[in-house]
Amino acid sequence: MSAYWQLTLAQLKLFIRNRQVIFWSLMFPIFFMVMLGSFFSNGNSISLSGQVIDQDNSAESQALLQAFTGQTALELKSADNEDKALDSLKKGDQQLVIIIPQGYGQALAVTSAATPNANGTAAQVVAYYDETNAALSQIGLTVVAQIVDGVSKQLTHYVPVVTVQNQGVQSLNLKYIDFLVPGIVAMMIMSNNLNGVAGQIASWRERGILRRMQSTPLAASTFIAAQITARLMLNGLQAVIVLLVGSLIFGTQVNGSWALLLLFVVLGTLAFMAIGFIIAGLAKTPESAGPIAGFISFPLLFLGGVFFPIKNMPEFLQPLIKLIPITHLTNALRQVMNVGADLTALWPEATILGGWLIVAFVVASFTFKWE
Amino acid sequence: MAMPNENIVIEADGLIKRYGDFTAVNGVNFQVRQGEVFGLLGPNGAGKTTTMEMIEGLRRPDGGHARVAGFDTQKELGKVKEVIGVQLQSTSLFDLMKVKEITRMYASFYTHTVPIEPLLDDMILSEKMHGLVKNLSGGQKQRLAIALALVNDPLVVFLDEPTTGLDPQARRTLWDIVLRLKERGKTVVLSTHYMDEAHVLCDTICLMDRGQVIALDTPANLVRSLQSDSAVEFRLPQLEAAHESAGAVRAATSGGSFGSATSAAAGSADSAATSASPAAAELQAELMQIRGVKSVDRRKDVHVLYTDQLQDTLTDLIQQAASRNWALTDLQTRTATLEDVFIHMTGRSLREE
Repeated sequence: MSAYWQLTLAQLKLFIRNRQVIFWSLMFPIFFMVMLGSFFSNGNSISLSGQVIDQDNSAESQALLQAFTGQTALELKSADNEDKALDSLKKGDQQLVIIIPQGYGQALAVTSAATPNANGTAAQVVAYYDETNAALSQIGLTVVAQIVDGVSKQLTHYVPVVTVQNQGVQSLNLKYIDFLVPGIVAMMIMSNNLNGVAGQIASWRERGILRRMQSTPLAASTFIAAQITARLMLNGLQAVIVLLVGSLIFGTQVNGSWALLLLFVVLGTLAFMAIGFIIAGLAKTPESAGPIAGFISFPLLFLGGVFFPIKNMPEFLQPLIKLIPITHLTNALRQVMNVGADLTALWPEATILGGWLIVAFVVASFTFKWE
Repeated sequence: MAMPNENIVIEADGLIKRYGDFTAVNGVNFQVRQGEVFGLLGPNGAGKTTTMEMIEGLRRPDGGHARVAGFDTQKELGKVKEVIGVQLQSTSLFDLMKVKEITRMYASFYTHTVPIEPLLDDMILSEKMHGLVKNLSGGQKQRLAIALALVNDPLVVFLDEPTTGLDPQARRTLWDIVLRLKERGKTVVLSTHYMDEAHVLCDTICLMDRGQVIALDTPANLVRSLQSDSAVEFRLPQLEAAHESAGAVRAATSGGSFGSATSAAAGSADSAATSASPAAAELQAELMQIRGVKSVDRRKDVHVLYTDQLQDTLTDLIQQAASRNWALTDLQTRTATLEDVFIHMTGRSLREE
């Protein structure tokens, strides 16, 4: 058998026989998915709860209380101890506390009795929220504002003249897990290749394994080609396993073509492997290869839209986010799986990943050393 | 390419290697004949490994060149690699591969190979053929490294300190393997810092120190170059204890009580400290006067006399010891060794103390 196949086979065997590597590179993403997946698995809604305290006890305040507790977007319960409620808010047990203060009914009576043009003082409702949990609080406050607005409009007999009818154009019922699984596949490809290649090559160099090979007629290109082949096989397999687990346990959708999905898995693997080879070339010792790879991959994990949508990232980071390869890999996988996008829609992602691949391999070929 | 002498398989011609300001190998020349075991002998840091790796094409010389089987190791490296087998000093192999698998993998790197199972059998590894590399003992790993160096049926095998770190039994097994390679006509280049190993295995020894060749000959000729075929070793614990306590008395008047007979043995342990004393120099001169003595040496508390007339030297030594009341102990005679050659030429021991 040729050196190329022997080396490919050897790499596959080394992988399969190293239980720790199997665990971290396969079980870890699956655990991640199961954990995050079950966490957010109860439908589309994000769990948000709070309490409403009616201190007025008038007919008007009762009606508002009804409006709050009667809706389904938030889990709001009636309560009467303000201190206790605020305490549990601070502890994070709930995300909202709404207080209908004494005199609400009276204020309402005065305002609504006045003529529509009069500048009377509006009745007030106080909403306490936890500003450290900004995302959830924001959703909660939006819902509260809508309810208050609705009650307000009802009381003033406001008739809207223009209305919006919301309709999703994709007509797909996507859950968080559908967003998450492509992200996890991208994360897995990045960490296996960037961190995996950097650590392994640096350690083989340190231990003299590469030097021993250098003393044989084996060509560096054969060695690298075998590495690439073995890792492509492993990554393809891992991606398929993660996708299968996703679809069997959580019903993740793959709306686009599997072939296109595989194409992006291949592109991503090659690009990150090339970056891994660069790091292995730069690292002076195997001990430093790990931290360098971590230093690069860890921020990428957060900037690349693996767990959170990119648009939630601060404005000043956006140019960086648009540049890094993980963003495009995640996005491409997500588009294929969630929306069923085809290559005509995804050519920018394919081009950018291809660009990374070419540039990184050119740099890697200059920085790669046997010893 | 035709060689001036068809029997020469390796030519090292003025090899130089520098690392920054440090010159690791400084103009090394030698030739290795086909079928011989050629030993590079010297202490750690003598430049043995660097010299080997320049010949193997793993390091680029800063000066000079090397040829293996007529191929230049820089210009025709591809051809050189096909005809050599290499066991590196600190190679580790893939721990999670099986012995047979890794041998087959290395075989795949060459155009010409030998059958794998007989090779492993030859290296006494047939039982371990299906075992993982990580479960091999130190000696087995070293034998596997040699098997991998032989997988392409090379013209020349390079073994870089193959027995370092092995227990005595594993060392013997390895020696047998090297001798068997020689029987089969393989040319072996072996580096070692064990002089007994070099003596047993090598046809030619290239004695190296500080990046240079200090002697190049057969082991027998090297020892003969000492002009003394025997070494006489003995200790003088009482005499030295007396010297030492005399020194101690000179240094501190309250030290008298330590000069008792019981402290004699203990005192000899650091007698090296007193070797520069006037008494020691006097003793050395006295020993040189003994009949047949060519040179005098001292290793810790052991005095060594090199002689070419063993009987005369012994007779004189014992007479002198009796008349001067030296209380001679641990008297031994032995044939001079390569270690003695090295000490004679460099003033230092092969092994770091």
